[in-house]
Amino acid sequence: MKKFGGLFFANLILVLIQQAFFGELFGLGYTPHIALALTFALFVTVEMETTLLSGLLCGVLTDLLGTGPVGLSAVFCVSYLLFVAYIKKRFIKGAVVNIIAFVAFSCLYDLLGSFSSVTVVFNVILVRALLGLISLGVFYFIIQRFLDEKYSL
Amino acid sequence: MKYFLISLFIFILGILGTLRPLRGLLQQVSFPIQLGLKYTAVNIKDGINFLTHVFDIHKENLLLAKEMLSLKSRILELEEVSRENDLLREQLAIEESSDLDIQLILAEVLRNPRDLTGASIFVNKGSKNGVAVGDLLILEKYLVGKIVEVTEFRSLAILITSREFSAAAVDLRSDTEGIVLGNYSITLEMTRILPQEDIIPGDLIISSGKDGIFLPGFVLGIVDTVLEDPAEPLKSAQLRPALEISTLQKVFILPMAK
Repeated sequence: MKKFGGLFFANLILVLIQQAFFGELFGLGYTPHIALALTFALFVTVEMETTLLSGLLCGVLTDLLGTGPVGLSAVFCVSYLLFVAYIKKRFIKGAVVNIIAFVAFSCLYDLLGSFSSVTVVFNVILVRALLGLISLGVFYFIIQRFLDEKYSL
Repeated sequence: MKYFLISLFIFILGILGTLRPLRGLLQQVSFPIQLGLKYTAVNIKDGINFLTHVFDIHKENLLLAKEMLSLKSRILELEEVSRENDLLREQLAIEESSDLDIQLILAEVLRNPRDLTGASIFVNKGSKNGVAVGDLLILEKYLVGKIVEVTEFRSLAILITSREFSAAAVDLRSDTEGIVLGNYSITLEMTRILPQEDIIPGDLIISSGKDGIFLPGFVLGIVDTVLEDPAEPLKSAQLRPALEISTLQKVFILPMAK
């Protein structure tokens, strides 16, 4: 329950920041997927159960605060995380898979989101993915520091 | 697999509309936080903008001071004309009437992070406030956009610069007619102008209402350049929005269903 609460609030705050703060600050769609970045940072640092829960919450909250069908992002996010976990288990290991997987997911997610729109701006999609990657690095560093402190006690 | 099934279950509930009250509640509860975050970002942006343009602002300030002096004298002239106009109206017994008897809905603007082109926005009013798909977003006599999706407490609107936007338009000076289209989220384009029609840079383009979607008389943009290709049977014009759309914080929703 504590884990659920923590992840719920972390994802909620990140989705709100992503929509209202970065959306206004960067404008023109250059908003990184920071909530997704947190999920992918958890993917590298903690167990799969927590990552999937974070992915589920991230997707549901993103949809709830928008206008599209609720749950679509959650299904997409969770299935993708399961797919990456399968790839990592069966074929390639290492953090580099997560980095590639995040960039690919960010681009794919934006492309799917652009289906209803007439214009698909590829450079914006790429910039969003790269900004998201920087956020992932920041989250990874924070989580790592948090885990180090926790286990050193 | 457990989480996949949960997400699928949530998706089915979402499709069926069972989560609509939860969405409404979350959007209402989170809106003040989003507004606070939005204004923090606006202030940061303004601060950065001010620091990078401080010299330009000084020059602009001097120019505006000059302009203000000339405008003051123009206002005095217009006041005189207005008094004369009132007198004539009284004499002719013409009643002043508002173009819009419909009640406008004031809404806060939020950016749409899912939109890569920045050509759509969220507004914090939805079906519970009487907003419906097709309603117009306006600010004074400027057309801002059109509502395309509505939930209980939030709506999605495309801006006039969106590539999905098109409206029948007319040149205020010369009555030249055409179709105004959004152009890559930055500018507008007026197309289907006959070669002999009169249109020049600086002309104000307004909606004509002939499309049956938009009310007539709303400002769409100002002509920047006129594009004439001898090989093309019709000419077009590049417009810039008359309003700085990207910095809008509040808009009015004009209910069209009523």
